[in-house]
Amino acid sequence: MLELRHVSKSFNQKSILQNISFKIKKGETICLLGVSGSGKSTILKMIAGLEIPDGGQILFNNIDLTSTPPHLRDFGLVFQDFNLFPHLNVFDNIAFGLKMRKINDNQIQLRVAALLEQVNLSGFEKRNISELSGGEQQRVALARALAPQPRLLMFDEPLGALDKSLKDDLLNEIRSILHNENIPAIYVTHDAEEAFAIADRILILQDGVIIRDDTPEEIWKNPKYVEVAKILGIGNVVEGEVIAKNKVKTEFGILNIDCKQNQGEKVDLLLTQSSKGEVINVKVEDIVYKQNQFEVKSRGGVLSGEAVSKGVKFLIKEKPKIGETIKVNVQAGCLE
Amino acid sequence: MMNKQVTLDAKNIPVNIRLFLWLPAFLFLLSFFFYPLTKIFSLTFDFSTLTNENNLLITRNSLLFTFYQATLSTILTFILGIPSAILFSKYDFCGKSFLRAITAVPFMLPTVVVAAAFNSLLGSRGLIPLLSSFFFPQLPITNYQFTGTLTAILIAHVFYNTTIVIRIVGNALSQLDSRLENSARVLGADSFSTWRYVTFPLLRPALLASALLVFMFNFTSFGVILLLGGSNFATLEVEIYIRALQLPNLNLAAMLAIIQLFFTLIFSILYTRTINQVNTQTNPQFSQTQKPKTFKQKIFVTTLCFLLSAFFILPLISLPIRSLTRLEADRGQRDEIQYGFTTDYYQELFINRRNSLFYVPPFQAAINSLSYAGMTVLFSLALGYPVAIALAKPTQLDKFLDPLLLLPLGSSAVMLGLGFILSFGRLISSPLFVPIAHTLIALPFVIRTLQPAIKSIPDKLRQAASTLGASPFKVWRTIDFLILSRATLTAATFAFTISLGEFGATLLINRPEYPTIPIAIQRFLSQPGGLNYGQAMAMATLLMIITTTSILLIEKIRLNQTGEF
Repeated sequence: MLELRHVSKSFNQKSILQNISFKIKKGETICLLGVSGSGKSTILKMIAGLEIPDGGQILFNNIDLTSTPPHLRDFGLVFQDFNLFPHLNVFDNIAFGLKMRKINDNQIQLRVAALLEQVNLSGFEKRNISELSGGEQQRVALARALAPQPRLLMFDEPLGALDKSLKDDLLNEIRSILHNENIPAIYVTHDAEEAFAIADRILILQDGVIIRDDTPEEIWKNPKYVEVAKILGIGNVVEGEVIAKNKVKTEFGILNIDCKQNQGEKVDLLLTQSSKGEVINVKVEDIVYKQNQFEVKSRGGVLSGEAVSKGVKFLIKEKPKIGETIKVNVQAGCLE
Repeated sequence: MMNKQVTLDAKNIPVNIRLFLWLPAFLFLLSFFFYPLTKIFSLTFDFSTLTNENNLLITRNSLLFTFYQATLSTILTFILGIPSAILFSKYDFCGKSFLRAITAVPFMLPTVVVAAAFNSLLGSRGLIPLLSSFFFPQLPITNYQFTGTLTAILIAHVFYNTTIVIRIVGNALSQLDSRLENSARVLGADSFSTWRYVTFPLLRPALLASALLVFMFNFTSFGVILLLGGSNFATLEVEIYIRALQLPNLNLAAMLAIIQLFFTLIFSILYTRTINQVNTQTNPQFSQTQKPKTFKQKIFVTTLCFLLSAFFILPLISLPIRSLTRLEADRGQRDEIQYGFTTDYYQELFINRRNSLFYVPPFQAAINSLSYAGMTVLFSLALGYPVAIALAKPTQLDKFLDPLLLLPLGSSAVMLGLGFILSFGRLISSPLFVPIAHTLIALPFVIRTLQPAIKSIPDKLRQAASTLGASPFKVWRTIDFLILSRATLTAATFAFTISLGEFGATLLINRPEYPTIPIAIQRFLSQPGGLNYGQAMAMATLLMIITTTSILLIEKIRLNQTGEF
């Protein structure tokens, strides 16, 4: 359905996006994941027609959208700060897109009522925007974007301004709505948890380039790059040095792992806690209680003189003592 | 330093002392505003005044003309003001802050200066007509007229008020979150619908508020109309002046004053309501300005910058230029005319040409003005300080009394003058009445300047200073004195500037042998001959320089302190 081909964009001679290409299939939800300033929102603006790409093409059903103005693209966009019209009430906000399409009043009434029910805000028609809580505002924004039945829905950090518990609720609602409506969607966020919860496919954006494009399972299993592992916040990234084939020296001792790097080269390793794998010794530095377990922050206990990582974290069933050296099972993987 | 505690710890002032603080200002208002007001009222509600057909006809005509010129002026102000508001709120360009400051200058200039400035540029003795007939004598510019036309009035009103539109609408525009427009676009609104259903409704309060304010200023405009239009253009204000002095009919004048007061009150109430909505409906976080990019934008920015610079700078520089150049014969001059640079007009200011009682040397007017201004400063500080102390931490009582002080601002200067004439009769020949009238006008400004400064003296700062080992005197000198002296200087400059430029009230109550600078300018302008004209230009230039210096001084002090303005 939607396809981006080699899209690039720069502001004031500074390149923001380079050679962005991806496709979205019908009913698929993709997530653009990246730290702030990585160019995520600019991609959405270009798809919406609010910014014009410097190069490349944006197509929908194989039709180039370059000359189509935003109001004729028929895409929905939900912003982080909701951007509800402050001078209109809930009903008029949701009905805005329908009115622009000259849909008759009866149908508008029905459609708005149905949407309000869908986002659990029945009876809120006459409320002013200023009377709504953050979560309610975002629901209205969602209903407003859904109202004209867009061909594509885009979310720009939609839950960024909300607190944690509200976030989880709304995330589930968005997911179920997307599944029911079968609308292709692009979800932009810097929060890996949100990305994994909602996406069929995750695109990781770093400095204006897509460095990873895969399913959540694959990315989790094999982040492949240090940046990806860091963005995802999975496992522990530690530095090591290849000392022989299948041997990497780290602050936690020598691990048996086969990396592409040559002997003598530095390498980043991803240590994930696992029931199988190698046993390493770590020295407990700090303990935090977490859901029936103890999160232990530690450094290498063996070659402590060479400790260079910021520390690693593991979950332990029984509470250790600070300063104690304990054994942990990890699986190590090489990163590029 | 006990008195510091008494005068400045405004929090704990008991009610009887509060009343005492209000007393001087209150008595002042009672005798010089409310008493005259009752006089005006009692004259108005005289049955014969209300039923006199001639009176009613004059009232109707002047009311209609007032609305007519105010509406036209407001529309024209918007035609220039809206594009300018867009220019300043959406675009970055070289010289932006300078141009913005220039558009704000006229608002603070005395009406006589503005009238003289336009006269110096476009009047029949002005630079443009004289220079063009000098260089292009073949051009048939007979019947050229600028002063005495409605056009002159309208142009001066636009010159005065454009800055209001730029400020109010420009601020609203720059605070308008452009993402709301983006949302509308994505939801299917084309650019017209976006403007119609999103941008315009969000700007409506700002548009309405600025329109009301501009209309109100045009409605009560006096100096500009009298000096550029002449008494043929009888607005309510001008008609009050005519009926008070030229063709005395005090009953009619009083009735007109009441009508004027009624309308100003309505406009003020409407304005206060709409301006409150302006603040709540916009999001102050988002101001996005950009350099003009497309060809259209570049044309827009360049053309408008050129237009604004010409419109706002030309009159202000033509005034000093015209005061230093001879372009025509002095009155009664027979010998050959020396065209070009001259300082004669300034030298003439010190010479009394006609030794009659009514014609003092023009320089005397400057001395009068300065001493009136000095008295105004003293009066308004003496009355304003106690009130400002009471208002620094206001109680219900203070909040109730506060709006009373603003009333003289709402009523016009001419009306204040009329009230004085009606109330004090022959006594008015005392030169004290001019600074008293000026004090009525300056007092609200003085209090509004002092009050935030007194309020801003933080108890914590003082406590901190004393815990650091400063003696009470040192505390007072380093903290209170510094803040207060700045505020006092600003307030004094305000009062001084207002008094120096005040025209309406002074015209009604001043004694012919004690003219002020604005009155002298008006007299010179109303007399024939190049020399009189030149002297008007010279005096107006001096007044402009003093006023602009004062404004700059106020701005500079303001920048150095964080008051509430």
